[in-house]
Amino acid sequence: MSSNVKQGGLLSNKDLLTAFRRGIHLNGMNDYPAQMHSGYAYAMIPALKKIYKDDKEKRVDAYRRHMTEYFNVTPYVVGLPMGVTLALEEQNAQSDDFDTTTVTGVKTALMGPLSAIGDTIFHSTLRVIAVSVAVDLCMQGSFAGAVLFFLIFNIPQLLVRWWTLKMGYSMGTRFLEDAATTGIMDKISYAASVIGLAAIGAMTATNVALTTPITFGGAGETNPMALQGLFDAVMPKMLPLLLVLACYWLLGKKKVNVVVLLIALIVVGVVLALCGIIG
Amino acid sequence: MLIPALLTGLVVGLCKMDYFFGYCMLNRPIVEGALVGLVLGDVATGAIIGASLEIVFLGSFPIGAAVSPDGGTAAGVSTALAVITGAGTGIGTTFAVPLALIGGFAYVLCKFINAFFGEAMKAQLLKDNDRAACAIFWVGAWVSQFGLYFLIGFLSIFFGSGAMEAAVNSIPTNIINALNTAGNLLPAVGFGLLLTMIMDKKVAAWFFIGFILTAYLGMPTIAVTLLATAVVVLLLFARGGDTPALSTAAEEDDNEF
Repeated sequence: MSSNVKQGGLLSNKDLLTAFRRGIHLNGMNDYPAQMHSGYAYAMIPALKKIYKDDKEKRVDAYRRHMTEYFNVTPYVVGLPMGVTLALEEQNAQSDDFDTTTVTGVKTALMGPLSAIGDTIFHSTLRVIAVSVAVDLCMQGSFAGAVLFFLIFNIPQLLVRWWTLKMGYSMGTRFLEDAATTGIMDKISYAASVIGLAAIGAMTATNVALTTPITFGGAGETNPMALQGLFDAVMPKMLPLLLVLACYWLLGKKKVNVVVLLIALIVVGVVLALCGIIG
Repeated sequence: MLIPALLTGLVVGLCKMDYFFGYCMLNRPIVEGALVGLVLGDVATGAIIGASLEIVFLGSFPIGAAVSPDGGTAAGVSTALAVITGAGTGIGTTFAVPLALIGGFAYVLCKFINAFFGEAMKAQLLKDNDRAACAIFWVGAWVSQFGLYFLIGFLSIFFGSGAMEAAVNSIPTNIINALNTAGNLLPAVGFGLLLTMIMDKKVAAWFFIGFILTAYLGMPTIAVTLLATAVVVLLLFARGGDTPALSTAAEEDDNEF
């Protein structure tokens, strides 16, 4: 097994693999005082044991640090803070005057920006893409749709977990500067938004069903004019598009609560359907 | 009713272990609905309810400390109710919103339970007893999440399906049709919520491009997604990264840390 870790690194690829495997449980015991702190400590334990092999005082101090400090990040990118903090813990083990608040500082500084980009890429984009690929199969009643969704989401996220951990450990704090100077994060985020939005646009046309049965002209006469036909001539799926944009406006600009909007839409929908206006 | 209730509880509980298994989307409606359908012997109903609810809850996922509706648990329980009562997929989605709220609030309870295990784990770690600490982590994760959501799945089917069946049989057909029509509107909320998260002026045109490709040209969603991927790769890399509004960070000084 070839080792890409930085020179002088105490941790082998095998140790990093253990951290990766345990990091999967990061969000396993989320709680109120400090969110994912238990999972973070759980994932770090074997590596910390190796780093502070002969120094019980520093080891327990490191346990305390990661167990008590608030931690919350999009779980798929946890490798980066883990890798960086492991590299810093190593420096602490090798020197007598290392300031351990650096570890805390780096963790805290990474959480916000990493979660912003992680949520965009994984929750708002990769998941939406996976849904867009799987939804037609599911709607036909096939179990394969769910499997497809699961694989499309999880293969990339597992790779990113491993890749960020290696990267964070081998580059230490230098990673942050490099990411900022190359602008790679901006590009990924831009690409994610474009693909996600196109998929949502397509699904708006496919998966929102809203038509009107209203017709003009006397009942039973030769050619009653269907209002829906008029809409379709201008723009197919016009009503679903307008409904999505209305929801966007209510949720974004008017700050309407999601649950309130869902319940209101059910009530309004039932009333309009009973009155024969939609359906 | 005992066996279906146990099976539903088992699947709903295991799916909530999603967070323990790397946040791998087991707790999303599209997966959980299909899984409950599978164990109860009606995959099609589960897949359809799951996919419908996935879209309704497309924009709802837990970020940070906020409580969000649990669409996955709702899909699991809704599927079980629909399969057991034979009510069909339309009715299945109608009860999803209250179920998702129950699921969401149960997670608050979960986090309180986790706090106790967290304290116990910390006490062991401070004693340098890492084995005990890790064991507490496992036990805590399974007790709070699997335990609580098993109970939700089990109890709602054991006690709820009879009441549900009676209700479904007494609702007039025109109301059922109206509920189905209303249910078809709900995906708009999922899409709207996602748009608030990722749409800004720079990229908004892409939403309309995706819509036009499907509405006018009838392109399948997969084709639109692939096309957008190809175009964005072209935009970002074909001209050496010379993309408008993205090159601002590239001129920064390369200072030593």
